[in-house]
Amino acid sequence: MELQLDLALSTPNMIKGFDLNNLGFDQQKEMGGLEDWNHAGGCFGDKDCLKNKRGFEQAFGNFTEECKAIPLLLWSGHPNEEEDHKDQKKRTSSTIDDMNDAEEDQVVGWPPIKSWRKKTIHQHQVGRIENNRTVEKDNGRSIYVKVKMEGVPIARKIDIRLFHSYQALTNSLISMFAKHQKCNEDDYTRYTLTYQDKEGDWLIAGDIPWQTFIRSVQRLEIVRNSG
Amino acid sequence: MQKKMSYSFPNEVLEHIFSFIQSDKDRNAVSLVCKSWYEIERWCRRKIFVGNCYAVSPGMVIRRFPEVRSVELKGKPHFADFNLVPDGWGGYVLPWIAEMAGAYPWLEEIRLKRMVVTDESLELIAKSFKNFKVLVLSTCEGFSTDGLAAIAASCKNLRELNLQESDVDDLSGHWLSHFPETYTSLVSLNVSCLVSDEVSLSALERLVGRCPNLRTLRLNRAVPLDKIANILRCAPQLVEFGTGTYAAELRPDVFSNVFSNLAGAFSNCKELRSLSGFWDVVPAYLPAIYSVCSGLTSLNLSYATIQSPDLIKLVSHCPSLQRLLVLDYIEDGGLEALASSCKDLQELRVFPSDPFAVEPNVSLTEQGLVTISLGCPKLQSVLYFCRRMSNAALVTIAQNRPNLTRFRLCIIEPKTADYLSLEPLDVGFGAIVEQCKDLRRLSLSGLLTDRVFEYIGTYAKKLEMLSVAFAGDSDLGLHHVLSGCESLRKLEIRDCPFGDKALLANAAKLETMRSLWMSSCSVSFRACKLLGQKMPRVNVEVIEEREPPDSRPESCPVDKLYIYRSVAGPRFDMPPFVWTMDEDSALRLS
Repeated sequence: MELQLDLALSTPNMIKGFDLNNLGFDQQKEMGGLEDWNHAGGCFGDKDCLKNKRGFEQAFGNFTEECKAIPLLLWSGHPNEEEDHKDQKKRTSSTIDDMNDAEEDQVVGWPPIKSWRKKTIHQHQVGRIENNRTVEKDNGRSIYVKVKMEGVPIARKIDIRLFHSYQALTNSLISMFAKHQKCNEDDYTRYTLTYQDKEGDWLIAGDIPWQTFIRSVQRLEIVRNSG
Repeated sequence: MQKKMSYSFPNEVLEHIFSFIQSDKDRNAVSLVCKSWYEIERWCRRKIFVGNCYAVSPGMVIRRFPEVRSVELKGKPHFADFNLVPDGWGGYVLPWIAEMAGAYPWLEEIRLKRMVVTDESLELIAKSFKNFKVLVLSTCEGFSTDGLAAIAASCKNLRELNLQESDVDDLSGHWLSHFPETYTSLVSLNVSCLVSDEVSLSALERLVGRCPNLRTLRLNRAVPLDKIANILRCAPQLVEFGTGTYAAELRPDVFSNVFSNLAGAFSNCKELRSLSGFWDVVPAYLPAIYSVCSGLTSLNLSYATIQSPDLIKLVSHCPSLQRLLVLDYIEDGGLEALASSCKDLQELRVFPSDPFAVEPNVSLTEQGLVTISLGCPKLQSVLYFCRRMSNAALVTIAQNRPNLTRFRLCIIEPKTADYLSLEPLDVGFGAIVEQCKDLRRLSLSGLLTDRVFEYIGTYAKKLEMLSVAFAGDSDLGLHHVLSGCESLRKLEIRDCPFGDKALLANAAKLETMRSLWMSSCSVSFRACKLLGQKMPRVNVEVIEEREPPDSRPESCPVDKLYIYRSVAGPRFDMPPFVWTMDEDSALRLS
């Protein structure tokens, strides 16, 4: 196509050149609709996919064999539970590298949040035990832990450091989730507090000393007792 | 007659008159009147703003303006904030400092944004400028607290040190102690971005205590809540204050001590107008600030992970609020309370608490923004993250608030349609640009076709900056913007099907803009070469991290493209993954 720079200096007549019906290429193909993303589906295990974020190549198929068409990840979903746990393990030390690993599952740079802010959000979302030095000094830094209750869609985050005993923790959780569950106090005997430790195992809370517990806990879940 | 005119106004008089002209635009106009005015003006210009550090060389600036006292430079493109610009891209300040060290011995102020600053640069600043007063490093990187120590030790007249959101290698040394005991001129200190757990509290308290002019103090997360009271008592004259961690124990004996101490200290600060910090908030401690709330005009709660009821209680104590930054924990209900309490609100930013969750974790929708638009007549600037939007809501917002000047909406899931009608959001954004005639900045999101760009090109005549992602159908979209937006200075686009046609047809427009960024679009390598060849006063840079662009067919699209006008020619500090398309390279590569 010709470059017509002299014409480019005057704007009003340019619209003429852009006839929607006659753009010279297949507009259907160009318009990446939602269908294309569902095809893109998941590419979780494929390391090459993760590195190359050119998702729109597949949708706007102008491009030839030379251009690698890599489907865009994760439009249709978030990692499932198992993936989530695996990622959680990667995130125990909150360095930027680890954070970028987790985010390779997402579109790069979307949503548009500054790295500085993302770092802080990230620290709120998982247990923040940065390094041994911090733990030993016990300088009162927060440890944020995600709490989920079976049957309640919205998870919460709490700062474990604000509590000094299992009793205090349980009391607080009861009042936090009571708003959502609308059940009686009695019903709470039917629930058990479980937690995921540093090794990724799910255990019943209460067996180990509190101080050891807060150094080990990654996530909490309130589950219904069976029977 | 004309000769008489030029004699009757000696240079000194003109200079004196020009000294009242501060804005760059006006000064530029003055310098174009005639040769003698150009000469006089260039000798008395004291402040320089360079919006793109590669648009001009330090030598050119120095040659034209020999008596500068204040320099502001910006480096990387805005999308660098979202990790779209690879490390090592550029934006180094050292060459500027090195040249200014010789040419501007009386330089007083350096303000940098998105630049790479090294300890070497900071040491050079400390050594070279005897009357140095202001250092602002906004979203910069590459330096450590060692560099800050050099500044602290040498700059006896330093008034402002602001590290706004920079990425600093915090070596936990005692850099603060490098301010000599005789140093008392600090007016503004913002170290909120420092990440180390260690902070020298005693050095901080002594510094704060001996600087009677201190107006702004923004601490970092490491400063515990129970130490804030002491610091505030050293500086009751503070106007702007940022806390560290806003958490302490809830055990009754501890709580009552810390709380009453804190509340007492805050109540002494009669001048306080702006608060920030609030990491890890324990809500029980929030009432400690109630005594200053009625005077607060600015509140940054964007790190405060507290729920809506606590947020509502807080903002209803702040009727004078003009600026609020908050997380989406505020929810629609909290925004309703804000709308009824804070009638002076001018700027609102709502950030997502869990941006990567697919399901909403809070009840914040388009309704919150609609309510604010109705209740806050002075609202001008909006940044809003949410998960759903409708054309109806956008039209309502536009009709309620035609005085909006900045509107940035981020619907978290790309290409989200109007949740009521399932249509694109073209009409909604169209209403925004049509009603808000003074709109200067706009960020789009959601499902958008070429139509929205037609609206923008038709109505957004004052628009200076436009951010586009996952939008449009064809080159027509880009063409509408480039041909219609008369005031456009910065355009940044990612993941849109915009290609060669619109870009080449509007090539001349690029010289009227500061910069254009396009990533994951459909601009071919061939078009880039052509542009670089034909437009000598515009730098065309292709960013390709995987393989050189000429190892593929010319018709292949480039990964990232950054185009900016420049009188300095192509830059020489490019990393291996940046290719410049100038006249020579176009010939070499073809």
